[in-house]
Amino acid sequence: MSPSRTRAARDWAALPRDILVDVFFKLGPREIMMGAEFACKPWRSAALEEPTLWRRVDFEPWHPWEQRWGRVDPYARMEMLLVAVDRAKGQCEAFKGDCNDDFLAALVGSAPTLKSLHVEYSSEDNTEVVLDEALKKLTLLDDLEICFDVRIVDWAGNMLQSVCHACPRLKNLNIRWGGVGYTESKFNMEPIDNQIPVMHDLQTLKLYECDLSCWGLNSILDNCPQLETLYISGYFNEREMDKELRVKCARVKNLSLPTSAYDGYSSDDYCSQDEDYDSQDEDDDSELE
Amino acid sequence: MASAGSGDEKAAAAAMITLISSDNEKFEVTEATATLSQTIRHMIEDGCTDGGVPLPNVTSKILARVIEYCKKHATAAAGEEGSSSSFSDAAFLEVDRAFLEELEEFDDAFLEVDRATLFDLILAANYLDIKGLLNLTCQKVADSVKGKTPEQIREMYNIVNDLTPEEEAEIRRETQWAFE
Repeated sequence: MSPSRTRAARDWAALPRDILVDVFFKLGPREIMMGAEFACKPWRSAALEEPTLWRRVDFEPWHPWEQRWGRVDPYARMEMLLVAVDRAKGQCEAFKGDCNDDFLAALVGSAPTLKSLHVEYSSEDNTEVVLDEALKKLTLLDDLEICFDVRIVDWAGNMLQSVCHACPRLKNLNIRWGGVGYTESKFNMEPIDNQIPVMHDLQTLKLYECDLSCWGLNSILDNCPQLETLYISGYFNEREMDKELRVKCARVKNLSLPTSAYDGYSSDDYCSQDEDYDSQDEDDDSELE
Repeated sequence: MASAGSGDEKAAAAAMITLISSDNEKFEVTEATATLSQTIRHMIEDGCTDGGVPLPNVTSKILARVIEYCKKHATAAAGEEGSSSSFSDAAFLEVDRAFLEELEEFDDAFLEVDRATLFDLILAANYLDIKGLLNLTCQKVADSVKGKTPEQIREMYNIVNDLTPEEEAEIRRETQWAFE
């Protein structure tokens, strides 16, 4: 390109592809899809022909004052997310967004290489089966966060157990239920009372609104040799812990377990109780002061 | 890495490079400033900078701005290196923070340009391979496009809509989210 030509007309449509892709990277999938890719043919080609732009599909964060985005209805958003994932041509590594059964099945079909999956899940009748099948196909997954809108009460067997079976390579697992505090009694909470398989790589486990038993806790501690952070909220009777279990707990760097009182409202208070399990002090609460 | 280090400091600081713009204007800059450009760094390494470095793709107006950017950022880099040995950690952090803030202010002011200049700066940064400047200018374009409709983007950047009506109709069918 001669200098005289660039001086005469700066043709933004003809920006070198590398540079345009750089700009698009900084925009992110949502912004590309809401405007930039429709500006002209070369910009559209860049969006459609560069799979790397779509390796991380995440429409967050957005703000109430982003009016145009606010007007896009939830179904169109899901459609957009799938189009975005498709454009990665099977190379999508990270996804974050809304999800339901049909969507998850389609997502996993387009993005079998996902390493990170963070979803807000609108659960349906068949969710436990769909989720189980989907997770088993994501063999590279090491980071899973699911927020369900409601607890799936009749999970065949046990929720934590089946997620661990489906994704044995996880490094980070975070499961919560929408509407914090809606469970008033431990009987509505997710029971953590089963044997889980060995999770060699699991470093962080966070479970919200759970009814934790010593047996369940013991299984987690025995089967997660790399565990550094364990956060569980809900119900737990820590007075049932024997000394051996307390010693195991003390090995976890960041540990927070529910106190015997209902803990749902304080689930964001992230407090470490790892200090002094060997002390004879019966009342853990006093240790926290 | 090399220039502002040990005993050669004086020699390195004194080494000057002549850059020649497309309209034949000459600019004398220190090697430390010039080597923010990977393109020029390679030329220096290959020993082909005697008699000046011709930059046929960069006008004097744009080259002056690019040099202004490189000078500032080269000074900041040298300042950081020097201070790490002569200050305590806390003082170093303080100086570091002050540098970064000053640099940020400089960058913000530097980007107060019209779109034609921005375009030329991007191409120059790309040609000269100056990562920081390319990053900065591309971010400016990205920020300006955020939240805009396709029409607004075209208007802002003087882009002619070269999609045929048929293509556009098809796009609209497939991607209704962008055209409520």
